[in-house]
Amino acid sequence: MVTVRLFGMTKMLAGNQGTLSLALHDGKRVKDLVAIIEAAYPKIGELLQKKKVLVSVNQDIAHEDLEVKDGDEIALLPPFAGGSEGC
Amino acid sequence: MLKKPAGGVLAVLGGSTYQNLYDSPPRVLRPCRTGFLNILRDGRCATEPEVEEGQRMSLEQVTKADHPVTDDDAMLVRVQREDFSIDEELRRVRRRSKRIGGIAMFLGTARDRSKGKDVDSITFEHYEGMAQKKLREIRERALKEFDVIEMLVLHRYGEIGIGENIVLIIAGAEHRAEAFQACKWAIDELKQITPIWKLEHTPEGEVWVEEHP
Repeated sequence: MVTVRLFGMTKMLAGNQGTLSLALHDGKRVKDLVAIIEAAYPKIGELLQKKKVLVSVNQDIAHEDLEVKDGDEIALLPPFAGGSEGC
Repeated sequence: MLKKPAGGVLAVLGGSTYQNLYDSPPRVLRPCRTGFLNILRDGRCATEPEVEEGQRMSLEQVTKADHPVTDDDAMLVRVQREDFSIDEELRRVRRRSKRIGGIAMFLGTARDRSKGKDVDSITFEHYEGMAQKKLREIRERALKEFDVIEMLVLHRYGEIGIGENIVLIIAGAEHRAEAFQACKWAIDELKQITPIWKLEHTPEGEVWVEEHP
């Protein structure tokens, strides 16, 4: 079981849940995690496919082949919008 | 002036100043700065103006692990809900070094228009931990890759009213050109790599801002 943190629009697309608990077995990779999310939340899946939403593992942007281990800190990151408008 | 370091020991010629050493190419020496080679004398950062002839000092590559972030370092990179005082933050940068002769600042504030629509207020959400990590990376890269002496990076989160402060970057360098360059790079980089998201509250409803211009 892994916990995936959601932010911004991904949180909204998951019905305002801050986290998702997903069944992911040992040896699975980021792309397997993405497939599970796609099945449960197609709109988030679409954004993941378009790379508009990125997956981070342990606070670093993760490649789809990265193995996900028990206890990893996983998050879905929508496009960043820090700073101020037009600055 | 600077001979090739051997075994972590640096031999210097008399008449040099520590500043001469710090200014010597390839400029990897900085007075007690994480990520740089620091000159140590008796295990402490060497900052005296004159170097004695034949004096031996050790060079140390200081990393995060053996150079814990001090309170002052931590205050130079912050993600916080509350507003900040620009004067106070400027003082924080200025007191880091008397060699600072040019300070460039970028202040981002909340506008009442976005893409032609009215905005009543903005809520910023951040990824606690990763946001601070990315802002620390920006400061550390600015100190390493630009000729700046100090940099402060602050970003607020939570609901922010129109006209209020959002983000503050202060770059202190010896001269203005480096300060301007590092300040511009830092705000551009912040927008690219920092996990912070913006929810605009408009008369028509709430909108997550997908991409910044």
